[in-house]
Amino acid sequence: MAVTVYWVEFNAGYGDGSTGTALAQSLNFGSVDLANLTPASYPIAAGSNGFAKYIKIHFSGSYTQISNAKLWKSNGAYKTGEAIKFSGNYVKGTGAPTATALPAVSGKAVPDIAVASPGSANVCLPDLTTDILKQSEHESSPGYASGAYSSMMAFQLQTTSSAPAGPVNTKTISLTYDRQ
Amino acid sequence: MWKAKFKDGSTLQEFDDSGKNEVLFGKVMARVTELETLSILLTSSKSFTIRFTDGRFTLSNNGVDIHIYGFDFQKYDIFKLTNIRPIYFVRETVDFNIGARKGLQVASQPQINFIALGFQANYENKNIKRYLLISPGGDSLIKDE
Repeated sequence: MAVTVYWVEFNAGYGDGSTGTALAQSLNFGSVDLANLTPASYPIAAGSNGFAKYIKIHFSGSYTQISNAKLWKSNGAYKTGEAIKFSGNYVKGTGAPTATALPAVSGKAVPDIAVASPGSANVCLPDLTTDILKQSEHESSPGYASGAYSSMMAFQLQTTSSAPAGPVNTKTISLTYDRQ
Repeated sequence: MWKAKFKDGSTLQEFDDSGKNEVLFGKVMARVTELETLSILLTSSKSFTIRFTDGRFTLSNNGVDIHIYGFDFQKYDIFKLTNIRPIYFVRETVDFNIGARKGLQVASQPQINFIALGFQANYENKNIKRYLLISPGGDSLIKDE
């Protein structure tokens, strides 16, 4: 009936197989590897990148399955020279996040985050056969699942030298999924 | 709340009569070949039902029933459909913010976009889908894929 969604951030050397480091209360980018950071305290210089953010979606509640997860930027305009890169299926490993541009995956550059609802799912759910989160595989008590995660997602704010001084605009990231 | 009726007359619904005990939809899927109808009971007076024997949708509002049959659309012969399966899911959205001082809530409660109710089946070597998109307010739209 009801699903509760958390975002779990993976900082420092916490890798894909760990349970992460923090419940993310914001997706604020900055010049440090820190969850829930205050952007004004960790500004990103024009022409450089914010530290990459590695996040998984945590689903808990009563459901039979969750599928068709789509994520995009639904609100908030970019400023000149600003972009947010996003991958819904990324391998973090145990290295700490850096401000280096997210490496390409299999020769394919990490793209800009979608600015409209994608036509198909773009967040991988970790059942690699069906790409469906099944409650039965994560059941913690009868009818209830508390520990289901998406695959690792990677985000990074990148800027060019043409980016103006001052804060960027607030943005909204939307996630939709089909619950049964 | 969903309610499933099976060919033997038995029923399952999302919550029992006390309203406290939830039944997962997986229990319906476990008996999918026995399924006769599946309903969304939006309010006490408004419901939507799909009947799997002939693909009929029934929209009930304050005691008035409107039936929509498969052949109303003249796209396919409902009696030639095989492997009929239910479509039921709830599309939900959660929003997160970037750049906000106060940031997100730790736990975000999703908002319902719509409930999908209908069927999919095989027809002339294709998989076809017909379903209603039911808004939380009770508006509905029929979709064919």
